[in-house]
Amino acid sequence: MNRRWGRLARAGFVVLALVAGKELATALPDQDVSLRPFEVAGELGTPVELRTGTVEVREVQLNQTVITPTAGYRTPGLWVAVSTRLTPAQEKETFAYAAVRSEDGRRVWEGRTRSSLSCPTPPPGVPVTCDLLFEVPPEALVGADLLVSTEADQRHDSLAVIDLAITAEQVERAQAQDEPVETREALVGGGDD
Amino acid sequence: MTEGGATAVHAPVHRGWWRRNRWALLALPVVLVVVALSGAGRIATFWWPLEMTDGIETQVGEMTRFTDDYVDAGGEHERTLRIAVRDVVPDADPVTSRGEPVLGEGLLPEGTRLWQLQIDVEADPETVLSGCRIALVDADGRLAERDTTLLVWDAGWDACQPVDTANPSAQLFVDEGEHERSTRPPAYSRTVQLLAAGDFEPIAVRVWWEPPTYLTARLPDAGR
Repeated sequence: MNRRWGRLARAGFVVLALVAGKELATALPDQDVSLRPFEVAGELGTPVELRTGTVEVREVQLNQTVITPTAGYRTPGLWVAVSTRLTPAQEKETFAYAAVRSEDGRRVWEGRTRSSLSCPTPPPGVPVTCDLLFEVPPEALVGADLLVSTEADQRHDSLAVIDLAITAEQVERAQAQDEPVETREALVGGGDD
Repeated sequence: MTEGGATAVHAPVHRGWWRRNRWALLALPVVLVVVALSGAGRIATFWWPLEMTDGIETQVGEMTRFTDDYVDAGGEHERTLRIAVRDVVPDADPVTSRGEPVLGEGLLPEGTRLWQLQIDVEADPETVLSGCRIALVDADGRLAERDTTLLVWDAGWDACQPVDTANPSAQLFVDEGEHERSTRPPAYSRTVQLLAAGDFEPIAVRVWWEPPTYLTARLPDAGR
C-alpha cells in the first residue's frame, strides 16, 4: 500500500515539474520583449529626457517635394521633415537612429536620406538642431510617432517616442500643395530660440 | 589508495551518503572553478577592454609616463611615451593646426566656448601616436571631447602629433611594404583647441588612444 502511494507521489511530482516548467517557459518574456528599449513618450514642442540627452521636436512639415541643401526629391507618398533638437547630456552625441512609426505601432520607416547621418555631434550641453527626413505613405501618417535615439543599438536603452500630432486635414493639404518644403542646414548651438 | 580500499572493505554495508559520494563531492569545487574560469572569457571579450578602467592620474603641467597596448595587422604593440598637458585656457583665439590665427566673425556656434591647451610629448619617432583623443572633464564627469568637425577652420584631424612631419602609422595589412621613415622629432609640443558649452567648467583633461588606458591631468584650481 505504502509503496503504491510512493510511486503515485513520484509520478505526481514529475507531472507537476513538467507543468511548472511549461508555465515558466511561457510566462518569462522572450528576447523581443526583454531586450526592447525603454520608450519615453513625448509630445511636439516638449523636451524628452533620454539617458544620453534631451530631444525636442520643434516643427513637422509634410510635402510631396522636398528640397535639401544639396538636392530635391519627389515622392508618390509624403515627405515628413521633422526639425528636431538634441542636447547631449554626458558625452558628445548625435542622432544615430530616427524613424517614423504608424499609430498602430506596426509599421516603421527609417530616415532614408543622408540628413540624419550628417547631423553634427556637439559636446554636452550644446544643442544641435537637424531636419530629419522620412518618406512615408500618406495613409500611415495620421497619429504617427517619431522614434529617436542617440544609439544605433537601442536594446535596454531609452528611446524617445514623440507624437507628431499629424491630422488627416494636414495630410490632405500636403497632398494638394505644390510648393516644396525646404530643409535647413544643421544648426549647432543657439540656446533658447 | 590501498588504505582507502582497505577501509572500504571493512566498512559497514550502508555507508553514509556523504561517504559514498565523497569523490564527486571533492571534485565539485574543482569543477565549479573550471566552469567559472571557462566562462570568464566573456568578461575579457565583452567588458574589460572596452571600458575606461585603467586610469593614470597626473596634474596639468607634469610630465607623465603613459603606456598602452594596441593591436594592428602586425600583432600586438606597446605604446610608451611621456606626455604633459599644460596651459589650459578658455576663450582662446582660433588658430589652425599650423599655429596661424583664424580671422572672421561667428566662427564658434552660439553658446559655446573655445578652450586651448598645449601638449608636450616625448616619444620614440617610430611609436604610433595617430588617432589620440582629448577631452575636458567636469565635476559631473561630463566629457567635452575634441571634435574638429565643429570647427570651421583647419584644426588638424590628429591632435597629438605635429602636422608638418611624416608620422608613423599603424599597420593595416599583413603584407605591407616599407613605410616612409618617420621625421617626427623625439620631443615636440602641439596646440590643441576644442569646443565646450559656454558654462562647462573643466576640472581635468583626459587623453587616450583606446580603452581601457587613459590619462587624467587635473587642473590646479580644481580643488572643489
